[in-house]
This record gives sequence, structure tokens and C-alpha cells, in this order.
Amino acid sequence: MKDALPSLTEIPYSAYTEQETFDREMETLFQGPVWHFLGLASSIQKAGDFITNEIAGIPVVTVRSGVEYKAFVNRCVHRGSLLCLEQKGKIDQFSCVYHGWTYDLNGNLTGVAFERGIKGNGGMPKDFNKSDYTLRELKVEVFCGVIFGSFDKKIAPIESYAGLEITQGMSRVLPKTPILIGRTSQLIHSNWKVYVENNHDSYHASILHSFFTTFKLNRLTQAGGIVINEAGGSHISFSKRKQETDDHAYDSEKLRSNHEEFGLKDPGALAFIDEFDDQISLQILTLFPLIVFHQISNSLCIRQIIPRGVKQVEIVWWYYGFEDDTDTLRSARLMQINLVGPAGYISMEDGAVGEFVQRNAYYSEGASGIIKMGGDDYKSSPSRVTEAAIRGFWKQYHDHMRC
Amino acid sequence: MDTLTGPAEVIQTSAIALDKLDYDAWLACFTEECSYEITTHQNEVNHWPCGLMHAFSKNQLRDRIASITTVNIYEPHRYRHILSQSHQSKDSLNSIWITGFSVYRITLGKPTILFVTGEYRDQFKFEHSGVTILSRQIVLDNDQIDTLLAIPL
Repeated sequence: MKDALPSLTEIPYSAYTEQETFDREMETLFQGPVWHFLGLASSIQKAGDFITNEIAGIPVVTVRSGVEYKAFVNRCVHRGSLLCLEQKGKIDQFSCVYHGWTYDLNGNLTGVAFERGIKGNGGMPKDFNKSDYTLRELKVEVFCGVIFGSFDKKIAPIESYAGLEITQGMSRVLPKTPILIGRTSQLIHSNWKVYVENNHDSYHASILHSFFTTFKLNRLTQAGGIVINEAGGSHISFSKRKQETDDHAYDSEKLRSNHEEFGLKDPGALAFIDEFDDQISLQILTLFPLIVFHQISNSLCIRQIIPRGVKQVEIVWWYYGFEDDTDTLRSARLMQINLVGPAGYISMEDGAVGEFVQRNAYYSEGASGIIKMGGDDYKSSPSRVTEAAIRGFWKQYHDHMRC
Repeated sequence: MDTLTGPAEVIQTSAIALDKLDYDAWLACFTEECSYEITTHQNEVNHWPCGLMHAFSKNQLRDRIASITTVNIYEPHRYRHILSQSHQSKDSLNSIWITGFSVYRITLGKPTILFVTGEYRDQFKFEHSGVTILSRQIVLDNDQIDTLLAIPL
């Protein structure tokens, strides 16, 4: 008899606390057939330009080799030292500081210091062949100016991996070549899956994040919906600019987040410019498992999720804009930093609530979290009062972990 | 403002006010048309404008205080600022007062942590009624924030 399929509606808290699970995630999930964020193509425009980054704590370097984008584990094959130490730079070859081994920009070992020894003494064995050694290479795809990498050489291209609707959602917020306009990082004291679930959780957004609701930036009564891809783990939650719709649902729920008495003295931070000409003022898009694209008003950002062991996760917020941003639009992106990131009126709470969950996960006596809002499936829905996208995440998670 | 006799005192007062969670006293250190920014060294060297917090008026600072005291959810905590002596940069018409700082974060039931280090770059408005901060740029040494940054620095 085959094992029963894991539940999508009840997730044991032990999923957030077990070292063994994390070790399997590192091997099977993160180094399996999934796409990771490596950087923006605009950051490495010329041959030899490189940027470094991490995938779930594994150091990676991405480089322009001629016109191609190449990515390697940033590790010398000799003794495992880091090759590139800076976050960005320009090189004509990789050169290890430890023992001077060198590689071309395609990852081939080209030089071994004192390979033949000195005056006939020492050196590598005669049968040592440099062509047997290369840097560990990742598969790379550049999509809409974003560089993605995968440890699995046979992974499907981004478009079929994400599915049509998620691809369209990414293209929507990447209509031109993105350029970096800011970066910050947030260390959250929870398992990485708690943070990922939070991004898939359209139910919480306008309840926990009082600022959103108070200023009517995002209420569940606004037009919007959830789109979940076939694999389950990538989704879009979106809402349109506030219309004069019915707010009685909030008033009758007596939600803490509904502070009618609170008003901003200088609401400049909230001004929304409809830059994509579709009235959508909020789009949270997840690309399974560790990437989030957000559009919150005019703040555009790629959130890179970096698991740091069982009980910590780092979120790197890569803010971007476009070369031809008007001064007004760039100013809006700047002001809306106040909404997002570690200090954001909206986003700061996700840093706190993950830790609240994690603290309770350790001594949970076999208990499970309940994910039943909106049913038990992971289908797209016009309602955001659902946890379908969280169930979708777990569906794809289990599919990968069972491989 | 009578007691604030000069920039160095205003810098001290603003830090002490935050440590006491006395936001009215903190706001009193700023002029109405002030600007306030928190960014990181990494953003600065890369010429990336989007940091952590930006305000272009005292009202936007008032909004930050109103939001973190009324709306936002986080574990209650407070800071302890340790300031260096201030010095004035010579390369500006309206001289900039630079003060190094470290800020510890104190949360009930948790170890006190070294939260951030960095420097204030302050410009002042001098009036008969007193000295107030016209512009404060805060550049953090590190780009990683533990959990969240709700209370200004």
C-alpha cells in the first residue's frame, strides 16, 4: 500500500522545527528542479562582469562570459574556498586566493600554481588532468531582465515551470529591463516555510497589516483574486485600486485593523500611479519556492528568500525600477519604501508574526496548523478570503520532497 | 526648545528621547520642513536611492510615530543609543554634523542585541527660538535588520 498523501489542510508544526527535514530540503528541494533568483541582467552588462549571491546559503557567482550568462557555485574545486569575494566586479578569469588555481569564465580549470613543482620536486601527479575539473555549473535563464538559476540541468524553462498566468504576472511587472534602485535585508526568526506561507496567505494581508486596511490600500472587499498555477506552488494575489465598494464587511467584523479614527497628516507615501494602466495596485507573485515579486502601489521588488537553518530566514529585498522612470514615478518608488521592507508600515509585521508562529512550533504536542479557509483545494479564485495558495505551496512542496 | 542650545545638544536630546520612547520630545528636535532618511552603506556606495525609511516633512515623521504607536503590530521594545562625539564636515556650505552611533535593542524576555551601528549626518536650522534638525541622513553600516525597524533611529 502506498503512503497516504500528506494533508494540505493540516500542517504539523514539526515541519518548521526538524533539522532532518531541513537537510532534505537542502538536498532534494533547493538543489532539485526549481528556479532561484540570481540577480538582474542589468548588473552584469559587459563580458567579465560578475555578481555574487546565495541560493539557500550556497554561494553562487554569476558572470557574463562573452554574451552568455553563466552561473557557478562560488567554490574552488581544489579546497573549497570562495572564488569571488566581492558582491560585484569584473574579472577575466576566476582566481582562487587560497592556492592560486584559475578558471576561465566558462568554469574550466586553466591553471594550478606550481602544477609541475619546483625544480622537479613536488607538483601534481603526472596523471592529473586539468580538463577533468570544472566549477559546478548551474543552468541559467534570463527572463524579462531577471537572471534565474537552477541546479537541475533538465529543469523546464521558466515559462512552462511557472505556467502561462504566472508568466504573464511576471511580465506585467517587468515590461522593460529592470535596474536596481535599492537593496535591504531582513532576518526573521522563523523557518523559511513560515515566511513563504505568509506570502501565499491572502487571508491575513488586510487583517494583520492594519496600515493597509486603515488607509483602504487593500481590503478583501476590493476587486481582486488569486491565481494558482497547475503545480500549486506559484501564485498571484492581486487587488485593484480601491473603488467605492462596500466596507460594511470590515465594520461588522470589528477588526483591530480597521482604525477609522487614524488619518495620515501627509499622505504622500500613498500616492499610486497606475503605471501598468490596469488599475491593479497590489500584486504579490510567488515563484516556487523562494522568490516573491511584489508590486505594492509603485514599489517594485524581488524578495529573495534565503533559508538560514531550521529557525531563521533572511529576506533580501531587491528594489527595482526602470531606466526611463519619470521623476514623479521614481519619487513614488522612493516614498513607498515606507510601506515595504523591514521598516515598512505594511511589511514589518511579517517579520514579527513569523517569529510568533515559530516560538510555538517547538512544543506543539503533535498539533497542526489549520489551512481550511476556502476549502481543501488549491484552485484559482476570485475571492482572497481563502488559503488555497498556501495549500498549493504544500502540494508542490510534497511533490518535490517525495521525489 | 529653550534648553537646546546647540547642535550637539539636539543630537543628544533626539537619541535620549527615543530611548525613553518619548516621541513628542523626539519630534520637537525637528523643524517642520525637515527631511529624514535611513539608508545603508551598501545603498550609498551603489547610488541606490531606496533605503529603509524616508520622510520629507515633519508631518511624515508624525505619521510614522502615529502608525507605530496606534496601528502596527510588533513586540514591544526600546533602544539604547550610544553616541560618539559629533564633528562637522568641512566640505559643505551648510555644515553637516556627523555623529557615530550604536543602538542596542531591548526586548522583554530576550537578550539585548546590538541592533545597528552607523552615523547621523545632520544639518540644522538656527533660529532665535532654538536649533532644530533640518535634515537627518542616517547611514547604517550593515544592511541586515533583525526582525523589523519600527521605531526610528
